[in-house]
Amino acid sequence: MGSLKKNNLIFLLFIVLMSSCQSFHKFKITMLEKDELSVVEIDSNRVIQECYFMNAEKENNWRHQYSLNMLNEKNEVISAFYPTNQGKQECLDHLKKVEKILKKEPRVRLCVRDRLEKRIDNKSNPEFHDFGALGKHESPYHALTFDTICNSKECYGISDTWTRTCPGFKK
Amino acid sequence: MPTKKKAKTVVVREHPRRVPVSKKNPSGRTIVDRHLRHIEGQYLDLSLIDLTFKNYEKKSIIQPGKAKLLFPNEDKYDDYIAVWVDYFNKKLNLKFPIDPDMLKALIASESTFKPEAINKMATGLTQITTETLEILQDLSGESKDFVFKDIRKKDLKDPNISVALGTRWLAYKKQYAERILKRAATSDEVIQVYKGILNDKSIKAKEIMKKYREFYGKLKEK
Repeated sequence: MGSLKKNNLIFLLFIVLMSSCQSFHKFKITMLEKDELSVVEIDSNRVIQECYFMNAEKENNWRHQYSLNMLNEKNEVISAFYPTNQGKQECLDHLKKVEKILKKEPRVRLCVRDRLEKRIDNKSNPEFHDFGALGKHESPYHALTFDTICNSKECYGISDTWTRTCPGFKK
Repeated sequence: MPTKKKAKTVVVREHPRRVPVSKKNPSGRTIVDRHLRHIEGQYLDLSLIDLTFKNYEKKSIIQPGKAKLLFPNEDKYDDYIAVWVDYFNKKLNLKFPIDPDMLKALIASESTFKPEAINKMATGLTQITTETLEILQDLSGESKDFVFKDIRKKDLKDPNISVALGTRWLAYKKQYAERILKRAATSDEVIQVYKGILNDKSIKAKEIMKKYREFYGKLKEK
């Protein structure tokens, strides 16, 4: 009876250890020195995408902003934007290509640019992002710039310019 | 204080015109509707854009900043920016002139210096839309003080043409911003009007402007 309890305790400890190890690896950001470039390794279910219609005035009401939102280990959202506005169709095309990479494997690697900085106007006009089973969360950070996404077999770069700077990017 | 010149307009009456004989016009004649006439010195077409740029006195004009924004070809269009900013600042007699750094940072945020940047709605370095192109060529439209002639959407992939039209449009938006604000508009405000997001308080709009501000700030570090 005593040994059964001991076995259960070891098993419980093992589960706790495994889950804590796993949560450590859910999201990892590594900043490369060159050009403020960072590599993010993240579970695919912690990434959502968006084509946001800017509803801009007059002749500008074509503008859509592509963004990819990542949930870090503290359940904070880090957004990465496409550097320019796009029309709806172009934005949705990008979204589908990224979705294909995300759906194929449970883990992906992304290249993003710019420094991760906290927003100071965080409290006004909060914006929540819905990660389904992982809940709704807001971003305390300014958006980064999105360059590329890869799983173990394929990559997709939203702009040819920045695929060369991303380590391990394969066409 | 310089007085603002009022654009001259000349109305051309309905008149006949010879055209190549075709199924549509078997007589070789057609009737041209009553229209406004382009006044010399108040419009640019493709050949005038080319000629103006080639013959422009480039020595004394202000070039945009050379700080690295980390885009390929980012300095390649500096001469176009410098010439067209100087040209429209003088031509439109702008009370608060356009800053070449503002235009260069705008191009970075609109197209990342890719002249072939195109989507169904906007084309070229300065991302001119079909609607904007129409306004810029309309003799009785919003920018009638100075217009363009016979520019097609496909011409906007040419950096010289895109920068010329983009600068004219930026000047119009700057004047528009100053009219509604009743004061000199900041670089941020002019760009917000150009992008149509002056009244947008969303985080997305703020982030777009933050990126623009970073480009503009770097170019100002001379």
